[in-house]
Amino acid sequence: MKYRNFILRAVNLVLILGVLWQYQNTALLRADAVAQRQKEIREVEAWNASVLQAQQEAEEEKQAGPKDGTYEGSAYGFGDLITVAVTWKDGKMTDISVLKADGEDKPYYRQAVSVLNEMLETQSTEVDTVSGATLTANGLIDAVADALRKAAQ
Amino acid sequence: MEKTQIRPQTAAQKRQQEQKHRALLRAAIQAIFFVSMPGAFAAGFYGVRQIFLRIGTGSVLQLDSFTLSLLGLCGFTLLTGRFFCGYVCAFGSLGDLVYWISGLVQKKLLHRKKQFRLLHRAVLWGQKVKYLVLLFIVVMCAANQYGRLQGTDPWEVFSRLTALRTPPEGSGIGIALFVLILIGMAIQPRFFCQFLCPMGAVFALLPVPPFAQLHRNGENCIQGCNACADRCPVELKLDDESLRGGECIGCEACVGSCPRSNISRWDAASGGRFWVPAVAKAVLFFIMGVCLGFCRFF
Repeated sequence: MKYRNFILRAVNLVLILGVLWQYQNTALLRADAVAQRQKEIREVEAWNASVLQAQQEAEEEKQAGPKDGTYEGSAYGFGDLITVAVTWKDGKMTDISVLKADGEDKPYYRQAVSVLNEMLETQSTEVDTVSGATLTANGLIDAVADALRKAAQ
Repeated sequence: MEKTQIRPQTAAQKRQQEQKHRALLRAAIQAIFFVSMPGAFAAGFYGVRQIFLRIGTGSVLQLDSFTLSLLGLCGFTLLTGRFFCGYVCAFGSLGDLVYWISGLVQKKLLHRKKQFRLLHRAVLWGQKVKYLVLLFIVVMCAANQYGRLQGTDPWEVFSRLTALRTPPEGSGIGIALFVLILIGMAIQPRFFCQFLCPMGAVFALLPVPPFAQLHRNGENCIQGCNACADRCPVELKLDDESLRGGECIGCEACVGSCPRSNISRWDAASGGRFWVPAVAKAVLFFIMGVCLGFCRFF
């Protein structure tokens, strides 16, 4: 048959896509269930925390963190120095912006920027790196850590 | 008074000249992509890796930039055959460059008449190894063991070198593999592409539609002629029945070498202008590459 090769490969591709599609549906269902459960856990934790906080506030006074302002920090990523600016307000990181990341390959960089949101959410630089874009992600994390170090001085 | 006459070229001379022009054009396109998009092939394969890493952790698949790169490369290959492998991929170009230099050394310094090549039978076996490489990486990802392979990736070493930086620390195995691959590239054309490249394995499995492939009109062939297969970097004698058809990287070295011009594709029939399809595809890929963020400059 003339197109045997093509048909064989096409069937093969359709099978693989079908399996991935099936997987995706199952994973979506599971993710929904997990999100629901996490929401419940978070509600309980929030309530616990509010009780604890009320107790703590009564006991201790607020500690003074760095002054409000914007701090710059930099570290080596994949290709070159990455420079970020961290905005500190009312004892929290409120914004991280990347000032310079010329040395990074774009597909990797886009993958890695997710660590910025993660650091803002957790208010810490102890976040997981991004697999596949490790060097760029580590560069971003180190640059933020560098900025916080400067802020603390 | 002497009259200088320009003798008309014979058909063989014409063919030889066109073959030379083809090789030059291909080298030029490869050089442009090597400088501007050296990371494209790795980004595409990391899409495969990403999918199976997600499956390994049971999380939802996402259209991130690696997956988009994979879809872009596969889509382009479905439309144009493995033009990407033959003309764009920086690692493939590196292989061509190393083999060319090795040929120069062998001919000029060692005075060998013929450049060294592996036995045909060894090549046929070797070409199956890349499927095992692909399978191994996919299984490692899906089994959540990929972290163990950290520092063994020769592509990471290569990508750091194209960024003019030293390879990251702890990638000793990666550097060793890269050096071994370079040695391999010197003894066999497209050593990595045909024997080891997991992305090449993916491309070879894709259902490239017949119109996008090169075809050989076997009935018109000279008995016992092997010109196309001798020129072919992956030692393919084009045959629609052969399962190895997926190995063709679309370099079109065979097209110019055939004494009867038996090898063609629908887009190669544009008269004497052999460069039109290649340039058109290169421009098309360049636009797509810029959109996907492969380009170092835009």
